[in-house]
Amino acid sequence: MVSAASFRPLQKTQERGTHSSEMGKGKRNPEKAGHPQSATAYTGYAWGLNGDNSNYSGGFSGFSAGTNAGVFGDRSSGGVTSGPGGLVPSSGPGTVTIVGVNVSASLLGKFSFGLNATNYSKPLQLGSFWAFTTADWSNYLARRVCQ
Amino acid sequence: MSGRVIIGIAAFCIAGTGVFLGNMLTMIMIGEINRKRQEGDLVSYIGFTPQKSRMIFREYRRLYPNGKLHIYSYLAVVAVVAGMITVAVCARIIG
Repeated sequence: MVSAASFRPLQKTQERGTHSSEMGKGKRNPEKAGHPQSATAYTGYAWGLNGDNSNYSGGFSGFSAGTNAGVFGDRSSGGVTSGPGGLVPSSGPGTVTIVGVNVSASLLGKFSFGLNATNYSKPLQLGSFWAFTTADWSNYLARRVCQ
Repeated sequence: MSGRVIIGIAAFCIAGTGVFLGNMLTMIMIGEINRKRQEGDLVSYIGFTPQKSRMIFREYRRLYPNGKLHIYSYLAVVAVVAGMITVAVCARIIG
């Protein structure tokens, strides 16, 4: 089964230059509402975010692969609204890269892979620490101590 | 066409083959398990969760100690994940 993925925007802030921050846990369901064929919970890391995560928006191109447990990755691109050339991932400053792992349940077949392109909306700013996990606090405090 | 594109297309084909074979092997394993089960206690061919996948592998290995399908299924996973990571590197999504 080939899956098409769509990720919701990161909803918490990350300090500029931080190289690993938990992206967030959530569920994504690329199928039409009311007729779900698969559901996925995922977690991962994002690189290249600016101070307010505002560059975690717009076009992204990515991949996913695995069975009931798998891997995925995304990088900033022109997204689905910039034509075929826009699907090529970006490089340079402001580019966001995301990698992670996921656990999924599916209706037909457990093996899946896919390439995807999507456009994220602007992230909703909910404050700096509202969704910090233990790992985030550990990274944050370690960074503070080392500075 | 550059070498990067050719390698990416080849890796994508390998991943696709892995998905096809992996799903087929899963269905065969379910069929083999159901051959040893009573009517009313059969494993469904639809709906896959991590728990069900573990149960299928566990049951297959218990019922068919000399069976090789689960090993082939592991190889399919490796082909899918390695193939798509290669595609991602070739497409500059990661790396």
